[in-house]
Amino acid sequence: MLESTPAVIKEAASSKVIALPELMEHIGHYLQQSDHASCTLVCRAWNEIFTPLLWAKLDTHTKPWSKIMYKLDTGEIQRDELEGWCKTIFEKHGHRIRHLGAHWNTIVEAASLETSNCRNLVSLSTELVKHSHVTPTTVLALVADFVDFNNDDNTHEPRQFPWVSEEGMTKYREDIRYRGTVERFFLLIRQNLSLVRIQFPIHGVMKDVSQEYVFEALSQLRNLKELNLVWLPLALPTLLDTVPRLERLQGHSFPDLGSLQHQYPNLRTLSIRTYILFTNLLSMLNHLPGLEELQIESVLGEPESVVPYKEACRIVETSAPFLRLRTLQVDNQLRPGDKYMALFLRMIPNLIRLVNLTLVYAVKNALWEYCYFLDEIRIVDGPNVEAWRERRAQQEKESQQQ
Amino acid sequence: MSAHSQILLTSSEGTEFIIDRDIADKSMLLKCMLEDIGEIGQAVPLPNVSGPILTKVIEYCTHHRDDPNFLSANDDVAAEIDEWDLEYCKVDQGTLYELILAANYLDIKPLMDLTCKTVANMIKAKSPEEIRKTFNITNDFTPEEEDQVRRENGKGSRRLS
Repeated sequence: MLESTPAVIKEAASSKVIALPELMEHIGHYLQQSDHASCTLVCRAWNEIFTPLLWAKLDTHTKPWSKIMYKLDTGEIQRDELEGWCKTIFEKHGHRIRHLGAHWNTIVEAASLETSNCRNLVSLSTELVKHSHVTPTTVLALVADFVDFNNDDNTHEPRQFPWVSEEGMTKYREDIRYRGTVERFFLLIRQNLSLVRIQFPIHGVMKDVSQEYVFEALSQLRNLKELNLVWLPLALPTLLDTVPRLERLQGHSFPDLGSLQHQYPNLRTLSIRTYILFTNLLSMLNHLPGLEELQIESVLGEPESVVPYKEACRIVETSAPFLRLRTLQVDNQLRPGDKYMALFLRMIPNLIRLVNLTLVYAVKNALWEYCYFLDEIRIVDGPNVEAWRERRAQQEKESQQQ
Repeated sequence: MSAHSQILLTSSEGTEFIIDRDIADKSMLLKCMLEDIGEIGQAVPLPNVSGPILTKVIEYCTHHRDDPNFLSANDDVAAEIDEWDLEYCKVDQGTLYELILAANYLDIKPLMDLTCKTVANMIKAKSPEEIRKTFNITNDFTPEEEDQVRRENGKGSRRLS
């Protein structure tokens, strides 16, 4: 940067900016994809600069893809035409795509074809995968492949999809289309081992995925940091043993979350969209020393006959608090669990942000008594956090006077 | 080091500029240089920046002198440009490019963001032909090449127009 070059003359400035790709990329950063597309058509030099920018991200939720997909749905674009085009795109530009938001089966399938060069993904989001009404030819070919493959093995009933559990096979036998997309999704994961973020598809058939198959696929992703399983329930101990470097984890429910055996210090954010038993919650947090953000549906106590409330109190009094936990979101705290929530607040003295908790008297009291550093309350009609701030200011003043 | 100390800069033509230290510190290049070698009392030569452009850059840094959010000022991609900045960027294209190069060289991130955003706004929602006109660019594609690119990349924009 410091090398001495002659003073820039005005006429040359424009070509100099274009000659520095990092400057053009900076400009491109402020443009939308439709603009990137126009820029690739300006001249050869711009084409070279903007082509990688145009293809770095492909998300069917955003323009122009959302519009193209809409036109496919309304019949303005023929499905064959789009399929052919997508195939070419992934062949030619697949290697440039870093972020893929594939919310249509057409895209998931085209991206995972053998001819596709989509092998450098950093993030993959499928979420709600929409299907057009026609079964694409690619999936039929896929099913045929598996049937052939399985014919070699006559000892078992033919299994068309290695990732479907036994029960799933009988339930969804006829629904080839959805299975095909999920199959393609896993193929896509297997050909993108540098993935850092993954959001799983939302599909009824995802519930029938065999856990071993998913763990095997995930175990190859060395860089995986963020995982949103949506509806797929995976046993938490096996999951964290498989991807111990995981930093953010979201999902609806995690079986066996109370039986973690090792320490997983990398996990910083955990979101579980279901109810958790109090003792399971404490047991889990004891194995997640780095956890800063926790989102759950509700805390519930065990039945009195299993773990009496008195015993729960004793556990809290004798356990070390979770000092790293700063943010807590509780979306639907159930009444019978309130006293356990109040107990839990004693364990998180460094809580700063609180989102969505129903504050009955006992819970509000515990917040005031144990969560001294609370600085943000995001609850509709919730209490004012000023009271906490004033108390801290007051105590600071008193300690200065002494 | 005193907050009121002054720094001497020389532009590419050799013109000397005296600026306050806190203004110079807006440039990461100068800040690091001054921290590394200290204030030696000699002029810092800036062979890549002409006098008129340096004047413009100093104007920007002086206006944002006490801005507490200086470094994160233009981080938001979608945010509107504030009025003073908008007025500041009403210069001819050559000057605008030179400001980008100067901001890049002197490492003044908010000025870099501002000027790049201004150029981006000149591109936004324009057709390839309109962009060529705006930036006085000659279309050097052969008709076949152009057609090929249009078929691949232009699909979205063509279908949307």
